[in-house]
Amino acid sequence: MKSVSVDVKHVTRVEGHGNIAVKVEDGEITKLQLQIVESPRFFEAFMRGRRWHEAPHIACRICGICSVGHTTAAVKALEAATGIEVTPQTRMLRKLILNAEQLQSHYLHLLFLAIPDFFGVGSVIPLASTHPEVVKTALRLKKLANDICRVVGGRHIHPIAVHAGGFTHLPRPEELIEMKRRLIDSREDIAAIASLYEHVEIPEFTRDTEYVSLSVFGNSEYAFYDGDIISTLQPEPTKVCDYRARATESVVEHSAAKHVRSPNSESYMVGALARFNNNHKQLHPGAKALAERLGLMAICTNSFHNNTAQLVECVHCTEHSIELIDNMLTQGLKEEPLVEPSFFHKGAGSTEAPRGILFHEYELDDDGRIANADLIIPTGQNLANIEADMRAMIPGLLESGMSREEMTLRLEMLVRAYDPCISCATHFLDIEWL
Amino acid sequence: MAAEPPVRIVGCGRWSMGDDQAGLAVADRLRHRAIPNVAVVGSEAPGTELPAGLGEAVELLVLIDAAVADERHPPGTSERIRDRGQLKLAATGPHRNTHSLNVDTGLRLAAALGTLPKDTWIYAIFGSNFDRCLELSPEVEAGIEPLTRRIEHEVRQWLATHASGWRTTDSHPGCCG
Repeated sequence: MKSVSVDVKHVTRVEGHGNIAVKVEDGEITKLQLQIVESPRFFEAFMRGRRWHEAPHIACRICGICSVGHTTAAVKALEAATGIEVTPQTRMLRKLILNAEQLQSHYLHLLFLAIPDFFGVGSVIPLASTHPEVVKTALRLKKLANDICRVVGGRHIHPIAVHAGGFTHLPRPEELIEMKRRLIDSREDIAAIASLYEHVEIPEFTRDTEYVSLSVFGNSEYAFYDGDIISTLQPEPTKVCDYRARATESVVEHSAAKHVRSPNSESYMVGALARFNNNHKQLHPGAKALAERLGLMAICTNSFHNNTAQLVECVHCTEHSIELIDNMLTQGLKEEPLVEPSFFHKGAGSTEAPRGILFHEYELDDDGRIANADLIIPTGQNLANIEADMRAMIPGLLESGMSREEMTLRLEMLVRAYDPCISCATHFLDIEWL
Repeated sequence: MAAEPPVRIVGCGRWSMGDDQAGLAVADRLRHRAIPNVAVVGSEAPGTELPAGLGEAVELLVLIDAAVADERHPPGTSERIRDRGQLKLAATGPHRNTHSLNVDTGLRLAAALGTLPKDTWIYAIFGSNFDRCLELSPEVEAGIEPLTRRIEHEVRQWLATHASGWRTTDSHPGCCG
């Protein structure tokens, strides 16, 4: 039996700082931790006492990658807490900027952070010398997604036009026409990236787990903005206001981010693969075709295929964004005043951020100030599942005769496949070190 | 589509991080100068946006970014960095995490792609407050206009000595911020 130890400080090409610590003695795993070492950031604490409408603009600072997701979950939660009903125009604009964030985040992960693994290089810089066309395509796609966020949200990150009750700035028709033109042009670039991914070797690994996401019933929409909570083990929908029935947080000693379990499992997965597994029938036909071409079939239990699911979602988001822009151009955008609150109470909101389902809940006092906030972040929800995957994977790696270095790389690749956003995950309030 | 101007000016920084917005503020003023044959843009994500915006026609790239003041460089002063090694950014390449997708990453990617112009000028404007804040500190605010004028002057000089091969175009408004 083998003994081996893996000690990665820090896992590279992810968002934030995390370590992998594994010790195997005589074939038995005696230590296995994905250590989140980034400092807690206490967002839930310092939002207390702030005015209700400030929450989206504070909460979006949790992350520079998924700031639109945080903004969207926050405005939905505040609207639930204040009785605000937004207009169809606001919903369309929110869906468009959320699509753009999925694109910019997925492109960043697939084409800058994950792809060096498949070319056996340490970063995107050497790839720029050996495969310049790939990197130029990546830069073009990323810039397009950033520009859509900028046009709709006023900035490419931390949007300033998105508020509870509506938008304070609207994209001009000529900007929408230009974005649509570039989205149409980007089909060719996505096809090139798909051809590339068709030939990369995704590691063989399967482990049954629970996949949790939003899902929309009653229409054909692939859930990013709307929906109830479902999972592969509990497909009956749960309303977002009851999210605590589906996600229970706990503090673990080795992580500055909380772990989360469901009523059905010690761990579960959220993100592109979970969305694909639950909602693949609602993907755009072009995305479905790509999934088939890449061999991605629901229910896929190989976490490495989260990358594949992200690429499939890029096709979906591109096509859905083109449809949304067409609708906006046909109907015309008009200035609308922000919808005012009817009352101040408590409300929860959820959205699918690029890395998975995201929950925000705010309790407001009678003056509209935040009395309590609760945020449950996708990466936090994935941490226990990553550790469970590592635990399941290690015996096979040992049996295969892999070197310590090869094992280390494979474990790092697994963590990266989840596209973890560690800075997001360390936002939390209560630390109860065991 | 309009021809790509031969000079590209990129102001870098974050509008919401105090003096870090200085590069963006200088670019904003330069954009309003409307210098012919010059595109001026601002970027809050230069790691990917800088190389994405560099086409083959760009012969001079001008970067403006904020830097941390020290004894030799008080807040509000600025300097043209002749040696990129002075930036001391090489240790934080893109191999670390997304937070290091910075100006240095953008320059290295452009160099690797072969699109980094031989003439690349980097101006640092020194600041003291890089906390979350929408305002520039008074010293840096006072340093914005002198640096804007200096860059305009030096770019116009460069244009005067390199102008022979171009069709004169109007200024390219780009987008700032």
